[in-house]
Amino acid sequence: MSLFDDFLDPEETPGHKKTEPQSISGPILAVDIGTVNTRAVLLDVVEGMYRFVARGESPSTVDEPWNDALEGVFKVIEQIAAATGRQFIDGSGDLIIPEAEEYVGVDMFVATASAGPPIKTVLVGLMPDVSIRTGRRIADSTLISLVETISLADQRSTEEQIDALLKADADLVLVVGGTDGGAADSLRKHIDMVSLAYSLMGPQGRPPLVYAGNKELTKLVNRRSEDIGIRVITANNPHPTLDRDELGDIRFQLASLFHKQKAQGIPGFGEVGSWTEYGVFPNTLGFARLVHILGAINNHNVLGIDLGSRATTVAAHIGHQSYLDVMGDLGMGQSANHILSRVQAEHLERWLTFELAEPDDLSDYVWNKSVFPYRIPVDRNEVEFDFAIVREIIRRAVQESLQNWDDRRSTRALPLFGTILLSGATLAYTPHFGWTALAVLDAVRPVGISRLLLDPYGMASALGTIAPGAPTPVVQVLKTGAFLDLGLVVSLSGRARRGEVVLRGSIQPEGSKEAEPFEVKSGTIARIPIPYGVRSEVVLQALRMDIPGVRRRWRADIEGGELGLVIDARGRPLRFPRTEEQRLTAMKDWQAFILQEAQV
Amino acid sequence: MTAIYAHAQITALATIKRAHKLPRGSMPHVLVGQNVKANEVLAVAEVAHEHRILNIAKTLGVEPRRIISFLVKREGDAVSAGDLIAARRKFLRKIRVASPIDGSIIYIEEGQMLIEGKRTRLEVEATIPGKVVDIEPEKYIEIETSGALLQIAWGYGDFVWGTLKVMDDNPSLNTNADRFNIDHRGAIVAIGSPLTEEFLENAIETRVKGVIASSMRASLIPKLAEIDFPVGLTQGFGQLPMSDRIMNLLKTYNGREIALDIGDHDDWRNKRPEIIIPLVSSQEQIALEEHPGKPQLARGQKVRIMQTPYWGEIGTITEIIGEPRQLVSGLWSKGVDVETTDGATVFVPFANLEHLG
Repeated sequence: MSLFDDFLDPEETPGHKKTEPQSISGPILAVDIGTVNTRAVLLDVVEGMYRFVARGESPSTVDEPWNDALEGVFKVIEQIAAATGRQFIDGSGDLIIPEAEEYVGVDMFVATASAGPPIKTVLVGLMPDVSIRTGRRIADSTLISLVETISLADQRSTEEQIDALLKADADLVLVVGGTDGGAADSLRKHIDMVSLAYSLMGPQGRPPLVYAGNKELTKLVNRRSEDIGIRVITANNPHPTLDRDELGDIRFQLASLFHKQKAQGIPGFGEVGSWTEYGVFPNTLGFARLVHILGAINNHNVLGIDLGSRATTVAAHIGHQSYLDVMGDLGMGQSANHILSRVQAEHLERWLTFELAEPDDLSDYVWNKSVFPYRIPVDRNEVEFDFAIVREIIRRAVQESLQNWDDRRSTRALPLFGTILLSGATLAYTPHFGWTALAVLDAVRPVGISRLLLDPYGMASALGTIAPGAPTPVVQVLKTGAFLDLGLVVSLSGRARRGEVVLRGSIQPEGSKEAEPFEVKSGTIARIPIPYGVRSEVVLQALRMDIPGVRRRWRADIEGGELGLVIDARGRPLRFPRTEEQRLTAMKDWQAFILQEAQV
Repeated sequence: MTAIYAHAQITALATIKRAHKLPRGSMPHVLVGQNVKANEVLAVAEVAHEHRILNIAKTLGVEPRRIISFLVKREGDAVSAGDLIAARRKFLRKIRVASPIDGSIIYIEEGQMLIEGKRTRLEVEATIPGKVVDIEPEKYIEIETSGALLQIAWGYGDFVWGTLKVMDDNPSLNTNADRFNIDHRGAIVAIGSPLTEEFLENAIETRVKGVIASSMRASLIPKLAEIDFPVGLTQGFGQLPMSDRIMNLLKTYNGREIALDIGDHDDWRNKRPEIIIPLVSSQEQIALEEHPGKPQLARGQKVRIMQTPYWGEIGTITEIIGEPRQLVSGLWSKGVDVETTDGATVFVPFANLEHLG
């Protein structure tokens, strides 16, 4: 019961035994069962430090004709076994844990997942802006699908609410609301209503009830549950007082349920979960924790975006506060078509550098993506289609998350992010990393100086899941290159006449005698080459525009990434050209700027 | 190493097992081993959609424990809307409580009464003729049959059982919408070309039971919300002709009774809509291997290509390409060489293939 104790904040789960990091010194295996792909990574000590040693990737096997998650897990483990010569599985098909002898078994194993049936949940709470909002956040983070919400703002009669609850045919009912010791009448009425609805269900069809509300009513909930025969799980109140959020315990309880529900619905899940004390956990929690760790290590704000096939996860670490939001209906695969109901087709089309042959071509492509989610683009137009969808999904996901970031709700202004972590097959598997960087610049529209990190092997959630039990290996793997550094992005804000020089700078790579000067014009994106891993002294002088977070002149010793140093001088807010002809030209230019290195 | 991302069945003969999910509280109406027809009811559930809570004590103005002496109806009694449930004479005034709905009294507690509205009957049909092979009460009933199975790209609607009427001889991109006659009424019509709005309107007017087409434009989706029959697409979205193999299979079974089953929209699996054509005579029943082994990509294997210009076409693997190749998009991928029906050989990444069983 300790894997998620320190999730987001070690103080947020009082009463729980805090995770004691295990004395892990051997290999660590992590598996993630995604909707489209199953991945595994092996971490081991090389030259005194934990490093990423090998990886495996194979199509997930939760669907027909396999209908067994274990098939895909065995495949990726076989790939790692072939690459390392290590034996992982014993004669009876179980993982060898702990390490039995050299090159036999592993010392630690974690499993995360996003695949499988959604857990259909009815959320019952009080105020839409408080308990319901919190309930949604909790549900999203554990990949729970809300099929019905009942709150004080609900205009329906009690009878109608009961009928709605019965009709929902839910796998779970989650009751939240109230502060500990606060007014209990409204929540008591809700509990009465829920109890009545349960009593109308057949004994076989009563879903488990999770109660995480005013703790004064816990006894009442337990008594009612006992009378009716409901399996009840009580968790700490996520709002013990009005000014405190304690989401850790309820998230842990739901994550445990996630494993049990999935194990019932997908053959093989139970077996994979039995290799670890904690079962299979939702990958969203691991991803959020990793973002939190990156923020803590670097002591700056971090934004993490995991663009999955079915869902998009946005995790943020802002001023020591962590946030996690999951858009369960926005993804690049099965749920790709949902973007068409969230944005107009023109919003997608505006990112293309060509005119559509037929008006429906892009919508047809989006629908085919949701039917055949594993497909990869075969020509340049399809790459543009993919990244048009990527931009709009990320834009919507970040905008919706921003509303949950405490001090940003009113201003709606994006904070400065020192690091932006990107995960997901479409972002990682691309003809050129410039596509990924440009999509993020267009969609997130960061301000100031941010390092773009890419998670090429889909390790982020695994690392976050490993962290509580084995923090040292995770920190060492982060230092030894778990992620691909795409480079430093400098995003200027303000306005200037198009073509006007808005930034002058110079770059002096380590060992070079002279600094090389460069200029960047308004409305352009410049990619200044810095060899990967080579330190360089960079001096930037902003003219007419600003570099948010730093003074107009900035001097630093930086390391180069895949794209070197990227300067986005299009200004913030990002404005679109007025005419179609200008738009086409701008799109072609922006693509060209980031796909080609500037001549310094 | 090969990788199968997707699998579908397009076969003239297969053992087909389909499990029907049962609603909570349902009662099976069949037994294991029983032969069933397509429209036969497998299980029935009676579901109440409406409940009413009446605060009798408050209305009558009495203590909750005293209402028993004022009740006209008791727990378990059936009531009609307007029926007197409770009454109390207070001075010269008579206070009456009437049932607001038709239904029955579920229980009376703490001065309140719960009335359950009339139950509606939910029936689970077999959808294909066959034999009941497994029953898990309140979970599923599994039916087994043998016949042709075509798992297609996409569908809208529910399920229909009816006579197949193939309207085209060959796949094409041109759709003639003016071919409907009285024979098509109540039939599942199939065309080898894209579905158009005009064709759909004529199909509605003719009162067909279902439509199978090669493809359609995504902009036609809102129109489908207005129809009451299922639509299946064999290839996907866009302007795509039907694959020769599917066209030929449909023509073979022209005039036969088929099931067009779009499937459960709530199912989280990436499950394909299906056309099932059961064998009708006992002579046609053939014992098939139930577990044909794990699917593999190998030379000679039939696959469906999911990339232009061969989108949806069924071809044969001629070579497994071990080393990644660069696509026009710039991506590198491992894949296979596939021979198409027009004799061309095309490299297809694993991710853009559907393994056919």
